[in-house]
Amino acid sequence: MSGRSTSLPGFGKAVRLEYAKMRRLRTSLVLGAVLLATILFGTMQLFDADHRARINEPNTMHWEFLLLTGYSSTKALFMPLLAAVLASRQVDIEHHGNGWLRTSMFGVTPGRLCTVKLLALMPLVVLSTVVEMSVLVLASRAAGATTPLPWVQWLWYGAVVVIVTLGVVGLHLWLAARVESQLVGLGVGVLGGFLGFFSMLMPPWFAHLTPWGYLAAGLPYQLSPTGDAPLIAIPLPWGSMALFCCVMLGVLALARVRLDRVEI
Amino acid sequence: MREAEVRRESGRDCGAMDIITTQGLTKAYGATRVVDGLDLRVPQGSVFGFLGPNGSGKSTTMKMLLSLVRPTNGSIEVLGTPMGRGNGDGDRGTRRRVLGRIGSLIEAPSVYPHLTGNENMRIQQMILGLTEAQVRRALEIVRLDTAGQKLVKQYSLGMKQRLGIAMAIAHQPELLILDEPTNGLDPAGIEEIRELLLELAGEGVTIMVSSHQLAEIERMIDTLAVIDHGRLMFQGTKAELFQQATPDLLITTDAGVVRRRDVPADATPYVVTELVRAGARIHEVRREQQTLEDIFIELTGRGGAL
Ligand SMILES: Nc1ncnc2c1ncn2[C@@H]1O[C@H](COP(=O)(O)OP(=O)(O)O)[C@@H](O)[C@H]1O
Ligand SMILES: [Mg+2]
Repeated sequence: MSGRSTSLPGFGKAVRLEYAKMRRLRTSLVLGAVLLATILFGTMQLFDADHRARINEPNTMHWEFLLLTGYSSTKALFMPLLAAVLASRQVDIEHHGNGWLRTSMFGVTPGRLCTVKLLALMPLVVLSTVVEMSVLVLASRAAGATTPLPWVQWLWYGAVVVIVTLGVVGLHLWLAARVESQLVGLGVGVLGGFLGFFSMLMPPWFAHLTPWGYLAAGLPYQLSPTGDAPLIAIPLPWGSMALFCCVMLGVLALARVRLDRVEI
Repeated sequence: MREAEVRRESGRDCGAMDIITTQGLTKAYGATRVVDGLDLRVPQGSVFGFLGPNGSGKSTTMKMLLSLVRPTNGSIEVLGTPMGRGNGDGDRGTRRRVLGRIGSLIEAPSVYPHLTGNENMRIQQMILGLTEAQVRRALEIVRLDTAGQKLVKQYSLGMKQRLGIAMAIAHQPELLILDEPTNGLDPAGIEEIRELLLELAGEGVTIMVSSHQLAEIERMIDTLAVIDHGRLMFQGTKAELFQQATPDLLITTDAGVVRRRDVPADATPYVVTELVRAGARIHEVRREQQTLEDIFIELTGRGGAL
């Protein structure tokens, strides 16, 4: 009778279990590949000798452009696909391993399991965002940028990236759990990439329509309408992000409850 | 020790108590009752066969026993504890405690194909807080101690089933609920499962095992229930099942052998007289026990795969 645990696995234990299951899923390989691509595309301007020569001129607005045209648009293109792949790999193992039933046996319902998976992916999302942005800064410094980093905007945008990515991953976890064919999720990811990228070019209202658009809606810069300076800093778009958070939390909570009601 | 514990909790002290009892157990999906008023009794220490054609409600019943699916109606008592219907928060703790004394394998083995056998066991170990010795013992019992390094996706179906069973028995449960553990296995694989279950039964574990093919589990079970369309068609020992069915009447005549089913003993003279009147020359009249398979087909009205 020894060693029998009847208690519900707590979130901490459940998250550790997810890491045990992640072995051989090549999660870090996928993350690493996308990270590398993001960094390469994001630092493209640094390879331009012209740009490097003018990097510290006020009108170049190096940091602002790096965030706007370098990082955010690259992110808008790649993040949706990455979210789809990560979510699908995490969930597909449960489809293949009859895992929904197994974890239900220990009181971890499908909705709760998806929440745990989101929590398990959170550190990875935060870490990769930190790495990406740090590399962009370091590469700029190495290329000769000496002007001060507008760190408020950068920190803000890092938070935007983390929040939007987690929201989208959450949606994909739910989708992957409901639709067994993982191609559907990947298709949605590709579509999201296009929508995210277009949201950067379209008027701001468009960016508020889809979850992927919020990488654009959360930007602290705008192309200048007057033409004095190419870019202007706008007040941090708290409202847009608050809207995103509220809608996402509501939608994900509903999705979780609905998943829990599914009888296996 | 185990028996004493069970008896204490149930407040009964008779020798052969039931480990599982259900009363009027019913599950409806929409208007369809996929399980319909089941009164099951699984005696302690038995290897209990749960038979029925595909779609007859076996998995649904087992899921209700394990609190994975909420019954529409009826009551369940497992290991002497009423399981409730899953609504009240109050009985959740009790239910979990009871579920901790059960090992189960429902529909397909819950194993992750991208991990090795050992890694799958590690996950189970983390969930249940198993000791190293328990993990090793479980893998030895199912004879997977050497294949633990291999990825599960490279396992044969039989190996996967055995790994699923290892995960179900590792915490040394008193009751094992196995849903079609022989499905898709070749005769050698079925034989392995049979030996395994008999070994566990020898240690005092009560086993409920389902199948849609009687032939697959006939030799491992002693008691059984047969369901069809969610309804109980028979419940009792294998011997009782034989007794229930009247042996066929076989009459050998010049023209060949006439087989009559369901002729009671007192009707035999009339059948014979009738044949003689019709001009048949009778050489032999005898009774032949139907095969279990025949009895089942009669019970469920479906041929071939039960
Ligand atoms: N979640 C569900 N919703 C609707 N119908 C279901 C559900 N689960 C099972 N059924 C139906 O219940 C019947 C019994 O299923 P099941 O218990 O799996 O049978 P068995 O295990 O004996 O093959 C089947 O007709 C099946 O289609
Ligand atoms: Mg079934």
